Amino acid sequence: MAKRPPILNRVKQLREAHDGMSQAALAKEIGVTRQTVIAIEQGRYSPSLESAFRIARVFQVGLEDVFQWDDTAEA
Amino acid sequence: MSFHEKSAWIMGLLISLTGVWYVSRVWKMSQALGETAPPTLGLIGGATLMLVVGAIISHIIIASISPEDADDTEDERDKQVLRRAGNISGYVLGFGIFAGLWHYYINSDGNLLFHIAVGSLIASQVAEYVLTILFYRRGT
Repeated sequence: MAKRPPILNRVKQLREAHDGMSQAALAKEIGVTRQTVIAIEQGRYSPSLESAFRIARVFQVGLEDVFQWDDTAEA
Repeated sequence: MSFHEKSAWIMGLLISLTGVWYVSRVWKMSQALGETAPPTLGLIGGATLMLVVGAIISHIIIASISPEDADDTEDERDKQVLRRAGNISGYVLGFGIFAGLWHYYINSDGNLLFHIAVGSLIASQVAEYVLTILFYRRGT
């Protein structure tokens, strides 16, 4: 099985707190497909730095409020 | 499921079926001749036609079922998945061709070299689609 990237994210929580923004709407905002947003939320895909910044800008928060390094994954 | 993943399922299946059909025909012809059957235009043309017609019809069907997905352009994840799958499938093709060349060097059977090359091409395409599906499902 492919190793999951050691990065946690709060995309789903932020999206839901953002007036229940849909995955499709977020995907359109950052220029990816809805399937990619789903993969990011499930931790199966780490977005590029550019897309990570775009996500943070959509929610008007800092990058580390969205993505965090998973220290437990390195153990 | 994204349009690219649906496409990979269909193309993987189509190429597998075409490969099985091609190998079974070559096998039967070779058994009848008592030696490796020479490449025939009809066989290659038939396999290509099967593949092209099948690909067009199946893609029209999946595009009409979910037209909004069919409009999706490749995003960064699609590109990463397709690049990795294509990279590994290239090794499958290279290994097959290399094995075929060595086989020709030892046995001087040009007909078999041709069929090994076609088989390697089919195997590498199947590998590419299988890996594409795997990377979409499990991540790269």
